[in-house]
Amino acid sequence: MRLLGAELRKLRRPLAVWTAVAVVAIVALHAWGIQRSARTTLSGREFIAGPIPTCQQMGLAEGSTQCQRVQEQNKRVFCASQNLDPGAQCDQLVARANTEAQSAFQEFLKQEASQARLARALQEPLGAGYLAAGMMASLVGAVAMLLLAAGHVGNEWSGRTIKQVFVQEGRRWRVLLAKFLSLWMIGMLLLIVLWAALAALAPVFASSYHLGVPGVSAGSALAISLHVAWRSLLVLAAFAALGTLSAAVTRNTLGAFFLGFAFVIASQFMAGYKVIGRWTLAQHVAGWMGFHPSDIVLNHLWRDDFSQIGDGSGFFIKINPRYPSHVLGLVGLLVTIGLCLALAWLRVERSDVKV
Amino acid sequence: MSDAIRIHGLTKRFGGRAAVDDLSLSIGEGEVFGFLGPNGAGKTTTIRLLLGLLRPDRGESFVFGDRVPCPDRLHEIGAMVEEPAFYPWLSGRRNLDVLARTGAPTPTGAVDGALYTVGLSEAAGRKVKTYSQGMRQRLGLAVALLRKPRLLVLDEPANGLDPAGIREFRDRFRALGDAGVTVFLSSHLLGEVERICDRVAIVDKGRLVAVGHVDELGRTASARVRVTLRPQDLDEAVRLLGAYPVGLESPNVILVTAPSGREVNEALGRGGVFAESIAPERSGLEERFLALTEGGDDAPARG
Repeated sequence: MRLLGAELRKLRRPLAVWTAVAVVAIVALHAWGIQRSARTTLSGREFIAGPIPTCQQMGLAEGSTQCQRVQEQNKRVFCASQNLDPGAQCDQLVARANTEAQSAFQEFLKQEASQARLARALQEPLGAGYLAAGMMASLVGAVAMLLLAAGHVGNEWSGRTIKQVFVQEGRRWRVLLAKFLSLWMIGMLLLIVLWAALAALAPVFASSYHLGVPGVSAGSALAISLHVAWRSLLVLAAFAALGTLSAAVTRNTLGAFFLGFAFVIASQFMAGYKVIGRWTLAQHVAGWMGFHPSDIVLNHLWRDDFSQIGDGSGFFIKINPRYPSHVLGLVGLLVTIGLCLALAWLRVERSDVKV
Repeated sequence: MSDAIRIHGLTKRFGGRAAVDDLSLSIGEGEVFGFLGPNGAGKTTTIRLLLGLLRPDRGESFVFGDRVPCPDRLHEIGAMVEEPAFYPWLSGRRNLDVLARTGAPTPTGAVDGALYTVGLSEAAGRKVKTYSQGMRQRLGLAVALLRKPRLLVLDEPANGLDPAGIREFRDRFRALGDAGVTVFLSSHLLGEVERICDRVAIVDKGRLVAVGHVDELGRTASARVRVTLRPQDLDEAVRLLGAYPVGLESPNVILVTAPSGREVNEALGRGGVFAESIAPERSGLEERFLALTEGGDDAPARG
């Protein structure tokens, strides 16, 4: 515990602060984009409301002269476009078209319900944790954790302070474990900071973007957030372990970041391939988190886009990607964490400290 | 007296070059031991091997009887390896606090005590990035003293210190030695080593070339003595000092290689020549060092 305390004290550094600022800024912009996108999408109902929208759909008083005039005009235009005279035949066609439009709109709403609900959740402080946790379990979180690992672990070699550390504590595995745990903890802290920042923005979103969908109760907003947040903790542990391994291998600040980043990008790219895809970190994260391409968390590690590369006929191309299960994701992440820490320990334990 | 450090056949190679080559050495508990050698002689590598930072290719070393690496003994060892490095964004006190929490527990007030001992109490709140090299050296010594060690391993501790600081460090190491702490001191400053160490070892190209008490090593070689005379006494002085090699430095200064300044003074006095001044130019240890290391890569500095 003392060693962990020492590692956490070292983390009070400009890099940690600027990483947090950057993550908050990126995610806040993303949240803003989600609100705009949701409003645009949901406002699309007016354009698929059928040839003769109701007075309510047009925002006019029911039975008013103005509404009747507009509806008459719309009907004339529609009948003319169908080469029909206004009359019973055209009325039947209008009724059928309106019914089809209504059913299409209901289908549309169903498809967009998830996004609308989550965009609405972002307008609740307790619901903002959904995006915070999702983003921390995504590429943004991975990059942030790798930056922190580079500064916190790799820089011990670049800054030549590792000799001071190993002269105080000769059991190198303890130092490495403390570094991993402190990184993980700072990742959790980053998640809390991000949630707090998004929670502060929630009232601003609520007042600026009227989505026209029912609100989310505080209880269900919190439930949405916690469901993702607790799962993201394991992903953060995997990112911390990967960062620790990268730093142990390169024993260098920049090297630690770029090696880890290269691994993450390679993992993203390979996730869509048939044979190797299921062994990638990206698929494990997607499985464990339950990410899906239509999720509001757009930047998660594995998107289906990558599997669309090529003509789909190759041996490696995964034609019909199946998302991994939670169990496969869990096992994959646990193995990743264990493997990364074991390799990092082997590397550090056997290496000479020449700096 | 039991051994604080015992090194047996220690060898470490980097690529094809042996940085430390079959080194064997013993240092008793409570000794103040000087470890001398020119640049690249293997001093720092030896220290790193002793602290478990490097793994030897051959041989072994023991600290208080335990084979290195010995994590359980580290709390008894205070070390300063080359230029000490710190976390520049933290204050001096915070750096010390972090290192105190790394490894075995430290006594209450150890951080403030160590800062006071090295004279950094006032600057302790400043970030280390604002420290001068001398202040970093002091902080490095504070780290080494944190756990009241039985063994101090110091690699060029006087680097970057001003003359007053060098003297202060010298007095502190001597006092620690007198208090029973074993001090293993690697240094370029032969004068300092000569003043505070009981025994010294000289290494060159990774190999041990001499080891013994300072007085013994110094006696086995003659010192160079600088004699300043009135110009009219020069010829007579050279005649009187005929038993010793004499070199002319300037019209009124000669350099005499003799066991000590006292012999030179006596020889001149017997002939009725009185020097303006007689001062040792190089100590016996320095002469010996230079002879054994073939002048070294660079000349040692006098402390």
